[in-house]
Amino acid sequence: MADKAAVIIGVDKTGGLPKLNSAAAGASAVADWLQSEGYEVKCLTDKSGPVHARDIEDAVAELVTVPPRYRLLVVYFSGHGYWHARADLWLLSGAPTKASDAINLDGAMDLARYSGIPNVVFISDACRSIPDSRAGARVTGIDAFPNHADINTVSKIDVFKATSEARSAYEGDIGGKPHSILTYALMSAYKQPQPAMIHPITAGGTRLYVVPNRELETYLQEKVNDILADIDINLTQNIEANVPSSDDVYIARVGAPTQPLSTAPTGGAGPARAAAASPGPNPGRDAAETIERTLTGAPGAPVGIDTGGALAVSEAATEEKLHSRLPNAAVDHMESTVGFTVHGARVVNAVTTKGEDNASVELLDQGNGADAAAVIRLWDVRPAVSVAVQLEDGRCAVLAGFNGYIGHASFDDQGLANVSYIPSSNHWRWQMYENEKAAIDRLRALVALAVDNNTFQIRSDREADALGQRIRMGKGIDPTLGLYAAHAYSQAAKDNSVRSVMNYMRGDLQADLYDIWVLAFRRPHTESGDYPRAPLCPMLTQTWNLLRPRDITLPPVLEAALPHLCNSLWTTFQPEAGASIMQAIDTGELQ
Amino acid sequence: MRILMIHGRAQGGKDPDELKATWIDTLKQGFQAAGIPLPDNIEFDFPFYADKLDQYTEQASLPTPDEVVTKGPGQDREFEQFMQSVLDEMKNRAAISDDDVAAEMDDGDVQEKGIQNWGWVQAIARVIDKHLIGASDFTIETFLKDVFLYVNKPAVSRGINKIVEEKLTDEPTIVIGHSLGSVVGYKCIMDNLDKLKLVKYITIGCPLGIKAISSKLGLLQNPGGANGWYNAYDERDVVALNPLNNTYFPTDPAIVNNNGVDNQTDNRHGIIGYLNDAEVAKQIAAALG
Repeated sequence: MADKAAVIIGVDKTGGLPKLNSAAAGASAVADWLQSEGYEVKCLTDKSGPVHARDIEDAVAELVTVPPRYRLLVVYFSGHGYWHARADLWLLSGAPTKASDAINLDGAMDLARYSGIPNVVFISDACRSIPDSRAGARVTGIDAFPNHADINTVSKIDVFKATSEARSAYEGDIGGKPHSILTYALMSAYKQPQPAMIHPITAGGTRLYVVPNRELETYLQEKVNDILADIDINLTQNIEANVPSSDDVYIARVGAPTQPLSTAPTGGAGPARAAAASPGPNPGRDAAETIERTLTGAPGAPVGIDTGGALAVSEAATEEKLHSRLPNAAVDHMESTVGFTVHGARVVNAVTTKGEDNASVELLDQGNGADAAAVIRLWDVRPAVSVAVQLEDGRCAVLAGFNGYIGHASFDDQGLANVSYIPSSNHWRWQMYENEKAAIDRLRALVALAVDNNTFQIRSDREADALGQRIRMGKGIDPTLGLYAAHAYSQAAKDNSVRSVMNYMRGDLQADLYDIWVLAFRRPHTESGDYPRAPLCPMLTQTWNLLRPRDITLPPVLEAALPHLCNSLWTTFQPEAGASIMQAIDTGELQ
Repeated sequence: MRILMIHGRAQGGKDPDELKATWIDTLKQGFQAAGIPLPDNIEFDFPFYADKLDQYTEQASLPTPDEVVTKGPGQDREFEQFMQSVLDEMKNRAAISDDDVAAEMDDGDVQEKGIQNWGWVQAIARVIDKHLIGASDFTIETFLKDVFLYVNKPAVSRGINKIVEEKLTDEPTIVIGHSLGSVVGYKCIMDNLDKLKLVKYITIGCPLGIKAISSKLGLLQNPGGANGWYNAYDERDVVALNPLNNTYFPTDPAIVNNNGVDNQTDNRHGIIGYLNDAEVAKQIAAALG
């Protein structure tokens, strides 16, 4: 009886998009390989006919059962892909005309967390292109995994993506045949592994040599770099990976090594592994490495830019990006203790929900989108409200307003890029903040930068505990850091840590941040208790993709706004949806 | 050779020595029915966890379906979801018709069109108690509370397992688990694989095939190896709802199931209706060597 299973998908032809040459063939090769490794494999390629979302859903349902049967599930896709509202969509044969004929990777990963299979690995050899048409933007896909209510343990989800957000992945001629680059690199990792990647294990009395998933990222990036360099020096493909699984999780075996194995410590609890060279500065990785050093207490901060002691970064480009994520020191209080400053855009209107005390809003200064910030003041906020701000270009963002906090928001061309919540200096929380201001502001900026680049990961319990300590501010938690930490904990399958963040914040704010409410429970509507939530929708764009897997239905006006989400880190609506959201909040339709 | 006997629920307040004696006497009857003498040199162990379980149940204050209907859902979401899952599965597997359930609903009950209809769930529990369990001190509601606490609350399983594990030795052992005791036995065996010399695992009236229970146990295994786990049940025993087969409790190697027991107790679940079965006795005898 196999204890590992795989769903392997390859789609060469999707709608009017260019026909690929290697997706189906590559998927078949992966399927054959995994079958030889003892996997129960379901292979769906369009070599023998169209592949639709329901086919994949059925295939997954045969493998993801109650009770669970497998210790490892691999889900692999090669084909065209979109990246919209910060979610990956695997396009299938009927897309984009059939908007549901795609797999929402983020939704699938979220449901896979409760599959009962201890480890699930997603491999996405697909572009992450921003759709360039209305039809493309309306592709929503399905989540493809069953929704088993009986499973209450959280699985570890490893994911390898062929490229970074909004970028292409490539296929090319290798050895006279077309190959998808990531797939070729992946299979090479097992055919010709580097000795340092190989781990010996004993299974059933037999000595095996394996490549743990944790060893793959660096190898894959180096291999992809080498392959592309031979094809076209202008091409780059930056792998994105998140591997919370432990060192004993591996996809396949390798042959016995011909050289002695490395005895260097491995695993996430040890020092940070050197990343493969990505071309050019990489502020996201620099920020993530700085955070990891801080949380693990690793010795030897790099020689480089040092303006924050233990929070020193290596690259000037990183420091520059951090500055734009620091709060606006010029506005440190509001008479009402609640409000916002807005940078990078001119604000033409602001509306608020009423909360418990009939809150109201004043747009004190529209700002100029350059050096002069917009200033918004709120009155009678108890305990929290949702504030929508409309920009001059028609875009709209929805923010949470908390009693005693000033939200410092900054926009860029993608949308709302950053929000820092700082206690108003005339509020009792200010004293606690002032004691740790430098460290908290810098950590917040580093985490924001890492989150924006998808490099912020919690790799060990030690890092999780250290992060929990660092984000505390007195008896509460910095709201922005709490939000980012909750996402990182969730990705690391540390749901208890998410709930811990939520409980601290409830004690301080007397309210839930919407995203943390979503992340803390599998069924937020039925499990979470009765705390007011703010704002009335996800704060981070990526959280929108978790609503459907977690049975959260949206009010019609927000449902209609979904195709108009920008790809910014924080929720921003394009002008097509901005006006209706502003009106819905102003009239009380949205509360 | 040792035989470790793990009792089920609803034994709180009873005399453990008397219970142990009942088990052994009933086992002797089974051996007699099989025409085999029970060897004299067996050491019997009977860890008694019932009072501890009653303490936990009291502390937990879990709602019954009646209480959910009167006070509304949300008193304990996790338990409510567990109850619903088990009762739904029992309704479907035991071929309880919608008409049977409807007949048990209170007059004037409004049929909700929402996600949870607790009046309906309450009615399923009543049908099971009345028609499948019969007149006895066993109710499905109390069974659900005990099992829920054991499989979902680590403090409860740790506390109960500790009592059982105190009886483990390094001598060759046959483990017999009845009802909740078969769930406790499974977990204790799995947690002590390197310590326990397991000769055979015998489960009787075992609820491990219920998915709300099996889904909480991680990847399922057969610690007894080939022919090392024998599961016997009466098909009318609603607690032993499903066989431990590839559908309901997939393991490699597979567990051997016997659905031919004729349990003469009122609820078809009582221990004295299982241990006096000749086939069960033969399995134990074979394991004794």
